Amino acid sequence: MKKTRMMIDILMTLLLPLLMAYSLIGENIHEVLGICMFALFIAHHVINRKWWTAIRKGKYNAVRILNTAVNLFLAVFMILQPLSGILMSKYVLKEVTIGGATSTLRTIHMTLAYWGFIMMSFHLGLHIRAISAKMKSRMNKGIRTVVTALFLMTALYGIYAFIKRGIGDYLLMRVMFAFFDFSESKIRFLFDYTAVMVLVAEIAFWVQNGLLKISNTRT
Amino acid sequence: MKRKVITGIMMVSLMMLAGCGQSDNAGTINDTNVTDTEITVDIIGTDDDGQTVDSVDTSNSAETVTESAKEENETDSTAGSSDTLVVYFSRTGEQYNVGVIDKGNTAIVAEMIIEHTGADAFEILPQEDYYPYTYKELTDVAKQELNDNARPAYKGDVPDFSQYSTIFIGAPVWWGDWPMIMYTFFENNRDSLVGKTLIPFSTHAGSGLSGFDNKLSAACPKASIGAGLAIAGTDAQNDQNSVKQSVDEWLKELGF
Repeated sequence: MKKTRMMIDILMTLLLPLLMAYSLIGENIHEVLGICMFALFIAHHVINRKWWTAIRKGKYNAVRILNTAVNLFLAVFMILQPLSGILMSKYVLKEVTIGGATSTLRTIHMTLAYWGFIMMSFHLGLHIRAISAKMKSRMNKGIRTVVTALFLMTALYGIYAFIKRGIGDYLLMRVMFAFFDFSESKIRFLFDYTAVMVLVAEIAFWVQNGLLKISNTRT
Repeated sequence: MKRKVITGIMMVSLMMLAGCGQSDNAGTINDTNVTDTEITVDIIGTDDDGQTVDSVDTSNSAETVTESAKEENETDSTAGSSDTLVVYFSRTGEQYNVGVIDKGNTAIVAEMIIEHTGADAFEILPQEDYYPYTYKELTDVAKQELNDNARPAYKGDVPDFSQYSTIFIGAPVWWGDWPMIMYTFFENNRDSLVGKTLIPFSTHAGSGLSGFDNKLSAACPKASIGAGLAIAGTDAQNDQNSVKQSVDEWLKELGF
């Protein structure tokens, strides 16, 4: 069960930059990958269903509030996103349509794509502690430093990629139609978006670390 | 030591950021807003003198283009004095981010191309104009056409393709694609377009050229496709000086 859970999480992480590439890798592939992501999301929630029942129980500290807020956003997002996508489908589910609302659906789907991308990366960063701790214990100091540095450098490159790709403009809805340069290398695009994922995940990781430290120095 | 490493990395990254400020698109085909004032543009084709432009090896356009003297009134005639044609589809009414317009974004760009090259023009007008004049409704109709893979009919056609070697084709980006009426044009004329150089241009609100060149190539496999130009619709309406600059530079690089 633990292995399945990990596989699902890894697959979702891999799918995310691919989905962001949209028409660069093919609009029909985008739809197929979107459906896969939706299925993985459902599986992820079935596996983690206890989280939902525990929501109203226990105490809420800063870390738990942060995690819960992010998770709730993602739950809503991961319903709206595939829903709006399916209703606009051109290939796989094109029979499922709704008249008259396609322009609104498009706005929802596009804006949520970028917000969801950031939030999923943040969610990843909030949950990476267990894995990173386990990995760190298996590495000697030298390798650990190199790996930490590599992630840090990728995150710093992620700042550049974030600016270059204009992700801020999409998040703030200043640009309403996604720009794709079909002549650029797809690997470059995917790497840029992966770097932004690493950046946001690192930020989440360090924010959570900070919050934990603060709460530990109190009682 | 760790702190020094991290500081060093941050310095390098900051330098990268500074050096990579402007995009690497300056002066190239797919650029939308060239507001860079360092670029000097030689605007050819607006003088009264006849101009012969040498063929430049940047594109598929293999022929020299000769502009004859009195080209001003060519816009709506296919009088056959040019071997270049501009085909375009453009909408007025309420459009994205520009309010209600009485001259389409694509039409504005098309006319700049015509003025620069002295080309003939053919505007694609729907046979039956059922396209709504409000933006939201128009996008829904466009989406429906896309879903249906519709081929809306257009009025008339280019009377004689044989005199043209280069054909500019322009349209707004609708749902990331050419409007379906353009595919009617491509398919109606697929045989006539064999061996021609087709150069796409788009007006858009962020999607750029949106694969117009790839899709044009797929629709007209036996034509060669030139490097396209994408112009933001808002610029076509509100910043025509910079658009003219972009168009002129693009045409120059294509050999016009």
